[in-house]
Amino acid sequence: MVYHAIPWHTIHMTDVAGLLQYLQDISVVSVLAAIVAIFWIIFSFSITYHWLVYGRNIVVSILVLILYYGVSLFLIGSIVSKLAYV
Amino acid sequence: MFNLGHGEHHKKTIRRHWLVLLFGILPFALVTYLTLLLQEVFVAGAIWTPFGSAQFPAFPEDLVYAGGSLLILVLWLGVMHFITDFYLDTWIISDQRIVGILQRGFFSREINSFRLERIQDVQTNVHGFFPTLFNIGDVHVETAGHSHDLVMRTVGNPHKIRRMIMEELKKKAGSLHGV
Repeated sequence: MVYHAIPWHTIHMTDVAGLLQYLQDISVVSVLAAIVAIFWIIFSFSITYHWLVYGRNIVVSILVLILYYGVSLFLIGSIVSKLAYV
Repeated sequence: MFNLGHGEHHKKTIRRHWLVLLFGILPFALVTYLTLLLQEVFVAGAIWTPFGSAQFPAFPEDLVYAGGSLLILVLWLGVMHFITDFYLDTWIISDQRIVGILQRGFFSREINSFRLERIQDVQTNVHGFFPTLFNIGDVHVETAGHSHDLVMRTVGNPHKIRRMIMEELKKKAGSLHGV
């Protein structure tokens, strides 16, 4: 039997059973991806803030941030591209 | 960014020795290399050693590469955290005071200012084979009145820094007596 998850827009606020079913359908990979994404956003904000505000040389700060975002986004891209098949 | 006061002259900005950065990053680089190596082993389902090879069921390729990239991303964040800590830890010596700026992880920054006339003693510690070889050590500045002293950890050429602080102290004492 092919099982289809309930689309989120069909769930009403009062439909607790539907909501629980929706939460049950969320895959472990999605939850893991969300946790990693939130962590990465907080970390990136912090690192950008520190280098731009406390860095003594703006050129060095910008170069470090370009390196950081370049490598990070490359790795995130490779994770996301593989995640679709997991 | 830290700015000195009006009429205050900057003498030297001190940072930890570059070897500290290198040795800090090295474990991350090693684990990244091992991750890349293990990715190939898990995908191939076989490992080759000089003593022979072993076969085992291969893991799904996408799962292995996604997991490997995730681990490398975490390692990369660790490297950036270390570099940020290293770069933002600074000690500034001026003709009036020594300022210690310490980054303790993210969202925690400590700035201590020690006026030269309150400095009582300056000590240096160089311990171990590599620190002696590369002249890396700690400079301990003892002050009156502060709850804790200033310690410049793992800086290059600590004896030179000590001599410089002592010279500034002498100049400061001379100017005070001149008044």
